[in-house]
Amino acid sequence: MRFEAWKGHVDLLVLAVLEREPAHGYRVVDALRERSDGVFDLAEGTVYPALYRLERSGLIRNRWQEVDGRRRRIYRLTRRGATALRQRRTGWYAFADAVGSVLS
Amino acid sequence: VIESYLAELARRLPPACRRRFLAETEAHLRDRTAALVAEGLEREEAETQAVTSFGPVEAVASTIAEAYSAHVTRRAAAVVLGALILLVLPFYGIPENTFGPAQWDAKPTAITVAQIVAGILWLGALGTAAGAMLVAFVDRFRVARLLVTSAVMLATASFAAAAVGAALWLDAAPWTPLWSMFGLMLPAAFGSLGLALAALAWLRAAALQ
Repeated sequence: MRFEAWKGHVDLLVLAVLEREPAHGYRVVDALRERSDGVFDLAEGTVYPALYRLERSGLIRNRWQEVDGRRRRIYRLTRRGATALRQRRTGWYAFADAVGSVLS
Repeated sequence: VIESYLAELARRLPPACRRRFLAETEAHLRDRTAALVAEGLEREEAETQAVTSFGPVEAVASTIAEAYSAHVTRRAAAVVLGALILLVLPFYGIPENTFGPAQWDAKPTAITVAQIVAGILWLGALGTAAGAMLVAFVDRFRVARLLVTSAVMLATASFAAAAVGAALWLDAAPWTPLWSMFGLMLPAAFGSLGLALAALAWLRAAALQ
């Protein structure tokens, strides 16, 4: 899928991935690909700026941690991030329903 | 392959966030390479594929710079607003006779004018900086940068007017103790420093666009 098409939704998708469990960037990329059945087969490098942006907004935080013998920056949702995810998810479903209604 | 990709990325990234993104990029590329090697690819082929999946170095660097620039713009707006409120406000808030009262019957008009002009410019800078904060938080970064610049210029003009006022004061009342004038100028000096730092941060952000 072209990056431009989902760029506007990348923050929501990353938050949704981190809602299940804390993860490092590589895992986030894999989870996006797996959970979208390969549709979000994005340029992997674009996930890191999104993680940085979310962290600066206080929606996620990170901590260096040893995983499989390597030091990783593990990201997890903050309370604010969980609230933002709930709100954005509700907004998205309302939007998707409206588009679905028009298309059908 | 990975090393040359990282070197190219390092060349294009803003220095302030280079280390962080290089460390994450390297960890990611090593992980992807290891996964591809485990699937049966030769190491060099796996590295090439890992780098390709990560994305063209120009695009990755530009997306990172965009995210970093947004952060810097927000911070610059916050620093300008904070400097104006915390450090410069006392300069205008201190009653003028707190330090060594001037012994004159009627204050010269020129001093009053300089003080009023400085105050108006400071209020303008404060309003503009507050506007920059609001605009930056709704992701209108170009407008935010314009407002940050305007706020810094207004604040600089305000300091200049205040300095003229102080010089006129010393000229009209040479018996005013110098330490009192320094006391008055100190918050403004700190404010100037804060604003200069913010302007520097802004310039860095603008350079990334």
